[in-house]
Amino acid sequence: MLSQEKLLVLIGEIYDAASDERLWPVFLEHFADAVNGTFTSIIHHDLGSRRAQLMITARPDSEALRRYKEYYCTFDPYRAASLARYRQPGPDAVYIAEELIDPRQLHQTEFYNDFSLRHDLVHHFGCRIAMGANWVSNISSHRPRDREPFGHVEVSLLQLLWPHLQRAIQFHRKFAELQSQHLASLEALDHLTVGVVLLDQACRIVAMNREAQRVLDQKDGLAAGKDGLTAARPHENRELRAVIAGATKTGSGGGLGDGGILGIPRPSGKRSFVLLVAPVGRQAFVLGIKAPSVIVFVTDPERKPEEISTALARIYELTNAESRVATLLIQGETLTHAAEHLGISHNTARTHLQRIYEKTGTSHQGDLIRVLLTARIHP
Amino acid sequence: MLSQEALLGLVGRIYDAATDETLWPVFLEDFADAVNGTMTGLWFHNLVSPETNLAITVRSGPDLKEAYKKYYGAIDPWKAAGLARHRHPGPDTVYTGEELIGSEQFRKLEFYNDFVLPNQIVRHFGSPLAINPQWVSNISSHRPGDREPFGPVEMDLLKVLLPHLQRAVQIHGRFVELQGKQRASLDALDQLPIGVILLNQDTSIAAMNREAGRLIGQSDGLSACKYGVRAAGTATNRQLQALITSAVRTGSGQGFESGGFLAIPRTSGQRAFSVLVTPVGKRAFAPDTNSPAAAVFVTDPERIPESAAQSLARIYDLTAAECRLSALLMQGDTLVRAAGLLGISHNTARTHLQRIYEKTSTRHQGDLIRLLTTGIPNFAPK
Repeated sequence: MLSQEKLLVLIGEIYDAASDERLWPVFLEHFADAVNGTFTSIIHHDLGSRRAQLMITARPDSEALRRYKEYYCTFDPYRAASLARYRQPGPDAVYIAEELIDPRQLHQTEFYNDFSLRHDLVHHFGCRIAMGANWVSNISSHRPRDREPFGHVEVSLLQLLWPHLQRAIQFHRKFAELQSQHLASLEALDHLTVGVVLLDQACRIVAMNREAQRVLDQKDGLAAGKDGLTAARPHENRELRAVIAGATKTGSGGGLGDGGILGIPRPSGKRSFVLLVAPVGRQAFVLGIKAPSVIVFVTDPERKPEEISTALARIYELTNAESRVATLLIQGETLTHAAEHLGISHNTARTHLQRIYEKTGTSHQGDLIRVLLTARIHP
Repeated sequence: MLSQEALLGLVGRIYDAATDETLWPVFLEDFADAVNGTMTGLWFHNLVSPETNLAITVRSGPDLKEAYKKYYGAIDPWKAAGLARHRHPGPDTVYTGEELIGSEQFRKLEFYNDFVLPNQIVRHFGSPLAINPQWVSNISSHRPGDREPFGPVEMDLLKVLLPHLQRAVQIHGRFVELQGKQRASLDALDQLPIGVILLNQDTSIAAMNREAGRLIGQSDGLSACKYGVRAAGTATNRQLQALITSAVRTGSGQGFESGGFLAIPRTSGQRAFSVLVTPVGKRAFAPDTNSPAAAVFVTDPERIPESAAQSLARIYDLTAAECRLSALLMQGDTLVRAAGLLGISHNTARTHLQRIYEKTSTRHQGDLIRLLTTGIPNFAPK
């Protein structure tokens, strides 16, 4: 039996893996040591396709691994038998191959003869550690034929580890869920024409979207330094810090300042960047954690709207010629300039414009531009 | 000494609390039982701003915690001596009160006479869990003065638990950090004037922002249900579902199509919603976690931009009258109509407009509207 000290280390390694999935093989290696096993793995099965979707292994035989993934996983008799015998996963559901399936029956299967025997993975024990409506996750270990089958000692070790494995899998899922929602939201923000920067309490940048990156890349009055978001000129920088500090306090639960709007002048002389600073909804409080507490929206008044996309043109059934006229108008040209630019007469341009008004249900240029520009997104 | 079963149970409860801080008291109760202690707790000391110190305790009155936070925390000689001893927590950082300060010296202190003695927490043992330049965390338990001091049995137990407590505090930190990031990015989406809906791999809705909620709430051609997003017309809905299916497939790493644009006609006859469906998929892998695989953006061409008066006044120094005029122009009114609405002459309106052009460096109405719709944040933080 494993010493208590070693057992506690093994348990600790389960949780290390829960917060960093790259560490699962470390735990599996030591688990294989403890049960004196060869090929040891955690396998996630999709019950619909019966495919092994994810395999974390220690001491793998790469040929066995490949053949299992490609073919044998779809009719693994241990999976089927353990699912049939134990409805719910739990410490009582740890099985030993020899007890789970009658050896006489097993020895007639293709799985046993072409897979277990061939790769000498004859002795086997394991259990389910988690399951959903159409998936199961199993942990198992193997030994070659000439060794003892797994017995009571190995079963009780796995039973002791079971609650920890289960908890670790839950952590892992929770982490992955939060992480993927965060990443998906950031990706969604990448499609917007407004820059978004998330700052923590110390004004450091936690995340930003593509447009914010584009603005900062211009190095034109606004920068991301090691002190976080900074304005080039001291006066604006002080103002920026003050607004951010006010919003930070609210974001971290200590104040009611609601941020504000400010312009950041550009050394190039172009129109100032416009910043809108807003607190993040109240965050859970934990010391020393780098969680975002302020959102800064950055707009660049010099950013030229892209041309009317074919999609937008299709929505309003604009012809190619009409799209070209509309594009120049939203980019700030007058109709006269647009006509010159396109090499058409002013009259033709007017006719196009008239048709565009009809198709978009607008009555004059300002209205048209508003409709075409309101909250654009780029794919 | 504790049985193995009890010990493993204690370890399990430490990790239960790692992603659910409301479960710390459950562990602390069991730990207090195991070491036969009275007040037992986890303390988080912020060394920079002590007013944010945090304590999770069992078997203690609220008065004690409050008094410690308000006054005695700052003069706690146990804390000071414990901090002075070590830079990194480890098995050798487990201490007893008696080891930290000689009892003779201790009895002379205000901390002892006014806080420790009346609260019956004379016996003390514990260990730091994390030591940082800005903050430290600690676990400790106490007993009244008339009981035995804590000894090797209790210290050994804490030594065994220490690596698990430290790991749990780390996992907790990481969890809160991720949760914070997830909330903040959803918050950012919430403030935008574009509807954003995140769809899971099975096309069900993972999250939607406020504007998407508003647009769906209009029941005007676009709806949400258990299975995801729906368009009113059969043909349109078929197109929408096709875009969603292909985007979700790509977002789950099983396809290459990139989604696309679609107009969704409104039953009210207003201008169609413009919809973009796109895959999202830089997600962390976890078996069967229902993670977002596609985003649906919905824009409403009928949306009147919120008045950006504050921004205009602030950034371009517009007067109140100029702000009012530009707000009307931005909502689609002509100069003549705007003048009528504001009760000013056409000439006055022209003068205002001229000043607005100068202040914003624009040359004509179209150019101005472009600046107003895209060059300033025309949405108000919620």
